[in-house]
Amino acid sequence: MKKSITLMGAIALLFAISSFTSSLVSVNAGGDDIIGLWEPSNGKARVKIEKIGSKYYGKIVWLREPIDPTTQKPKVDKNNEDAKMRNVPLRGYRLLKDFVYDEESKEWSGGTIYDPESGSLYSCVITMKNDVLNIRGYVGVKALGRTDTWKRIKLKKKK
Amino acid sequence: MKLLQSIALCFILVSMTTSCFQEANNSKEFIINTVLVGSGPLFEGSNTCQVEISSNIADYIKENNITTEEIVDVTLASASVTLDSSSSKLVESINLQVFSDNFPMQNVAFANVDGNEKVNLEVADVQEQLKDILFDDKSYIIADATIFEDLDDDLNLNTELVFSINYHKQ
Amino acid sequence: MTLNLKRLAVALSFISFTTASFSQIDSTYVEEEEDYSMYDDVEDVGAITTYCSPKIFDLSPNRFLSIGYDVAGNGALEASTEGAYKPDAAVTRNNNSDLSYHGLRINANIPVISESKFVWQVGAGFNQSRITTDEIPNSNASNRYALLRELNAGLTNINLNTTLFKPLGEKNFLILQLLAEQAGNYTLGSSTDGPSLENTKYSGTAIWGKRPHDRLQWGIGLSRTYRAGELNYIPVVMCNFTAENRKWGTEILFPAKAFYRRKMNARNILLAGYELEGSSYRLYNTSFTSQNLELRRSEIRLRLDYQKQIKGFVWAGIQAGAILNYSYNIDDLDTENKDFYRGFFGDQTYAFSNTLGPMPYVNVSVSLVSK
Repeated sequence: MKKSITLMGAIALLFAISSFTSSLVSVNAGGDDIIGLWEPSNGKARVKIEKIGSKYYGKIVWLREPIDPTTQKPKVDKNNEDAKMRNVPLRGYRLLKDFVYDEESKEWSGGTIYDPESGSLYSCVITMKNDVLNIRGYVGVKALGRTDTWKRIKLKKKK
Repeated sequence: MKLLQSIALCFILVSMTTSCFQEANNSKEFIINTVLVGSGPLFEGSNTCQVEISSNIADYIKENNITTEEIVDVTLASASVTLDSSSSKLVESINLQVFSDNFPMQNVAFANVDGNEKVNLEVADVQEQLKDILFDDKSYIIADATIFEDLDDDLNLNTELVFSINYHKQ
Repeated sequence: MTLNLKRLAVALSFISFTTASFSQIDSTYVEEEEDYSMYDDVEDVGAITTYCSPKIFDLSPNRFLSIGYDVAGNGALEASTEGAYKPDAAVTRNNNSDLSYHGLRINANIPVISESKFVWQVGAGFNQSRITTDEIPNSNASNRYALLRELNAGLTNINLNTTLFKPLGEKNFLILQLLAEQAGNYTLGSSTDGPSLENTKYSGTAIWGKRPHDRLQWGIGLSRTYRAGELNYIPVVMCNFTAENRKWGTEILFPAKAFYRRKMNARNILLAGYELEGSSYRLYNTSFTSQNLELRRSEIRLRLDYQKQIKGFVWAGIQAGAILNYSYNIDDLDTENKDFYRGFFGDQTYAFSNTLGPMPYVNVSVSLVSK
């Protein structure tokens, strides 16, 4: 009797510990894999992806050519459809917006990607394999789109 | 009798159709006063200040005898940010965005600060889904504030957003 | 001791359950503030090659789907009788009539694979030219208006095409374009007057190019083409360029087309230049002696082309200009029904030697685009 109670107690304790530790891990563990610093294939910018609320956003944190050669000032969103938003600086601009992670399909969807060069906003879906993102921007249906490949990068450790 | 029923049905259908396309004939201001905080230390460049709000717009319209069905749209009429004197010299520009858990992020206002303590932001012409965002359970206001130099302290943006609830009253 | 362990387990279970229930709730998110200069110094985690883009800044939009209507009016047609005419020979032609064209143009270009390292597009096109003329005198004895009568059904061109873009690293690329078209005076869907597969024309272009920076891509290549109305092999030169001030540029694929581009803003552009359009059109069921006749139709379209965003990815376009006829001659493929190569220097005879005068034209279109 003593032994069986001890065994039951151990099992209960194990269950409790595993539940407790799993509760510390975010339910969206897969979704949060996208968080970090990324570089598009053309190497012209670096984008930091973060989570705000329940959705994921990507912000430009670095530009290879931050100065507009025609104005000699930091680049702004000069091609925005809305004339009143054309002075918003590109460094710090939220390029990726409103992505929600789907556990079943293992993709981040429902979001948009903005192209500052044309002022166009595309629907977008993101998938990840190893440390590579496939960012597919499309018009209406996924078939009418283009996929770009982003690589994960990390900051060099300061000596 | 059948004729009367047909007329009644037509009337109902027409009413339903026209109610979908009603234009607003009334408007009410809904003001959000809040502080967006960017926790220091902050660095030169773009920094995010934000706040989560549980907008009480549902209670507000109830108090003012407006139903959600009567609301045609909600637009941002004006946005202003008040800075203290040191911040006003430090902040280069402010870009305001709103979003909620279920609706996409919208750029709603922007301004270059130019050393002023009270900054009236330019409100975006393109405004979509603000009604949905404000009525959602959890909404967020984000300000991307570009600053000229590093700041050790917090950056507080006292923000006033004046929304216009445009509705149709019979 | 045992009982305490059990109580502890139950307590922990309760705590863990409640914690799990609330772990999803993200209360006021506090973002770490960041020093943007730190992003200058990074190291790779993964390895990816950088590939050059198929586009440059400010190129006119790529059209996924385009529907347009084309109207060209009043070009004077002068036709010879059926015979054997050397190219550039002096020919007696009859003044036939003034021709006008109008018709629908539908084009689709769908990306099958569209990635950084490879782009593959498949497309289809439908161009129709319904012909209207002055009233034709009802004279069966005269062959004078015979050609006009044969063109009564109009001219139709349907095509399937594919384009492959392969970047070779960051600066170089290859383009391969293939086209199969059915052009003729046929009626779609008809078993007797419909197109025949054996009359399909095949074209292709291969270009090797360089993209030194975001505002320039150029290339050289070779093309097998029917744009001049008959089969030809010609070198091609590509030059897409945008000026540093981003206000103007060029879009050139010589000799097929060349345009100067003026950008008013991201949603309004104006192109000025020319495009060579043409194909070899099979004339079916004619009243002529030969039944294997090919109309070698080609025209140079000089135009101003204004393109404007309507909403989102829907753009409208309007073209206005002049059509200069390049070729309207007809070849007899004889009983073998095999097309032949004349090129610029061949002296094979034409069955009909015709001219068509210049005419103004307008084209309006709506397109679903990607920039």
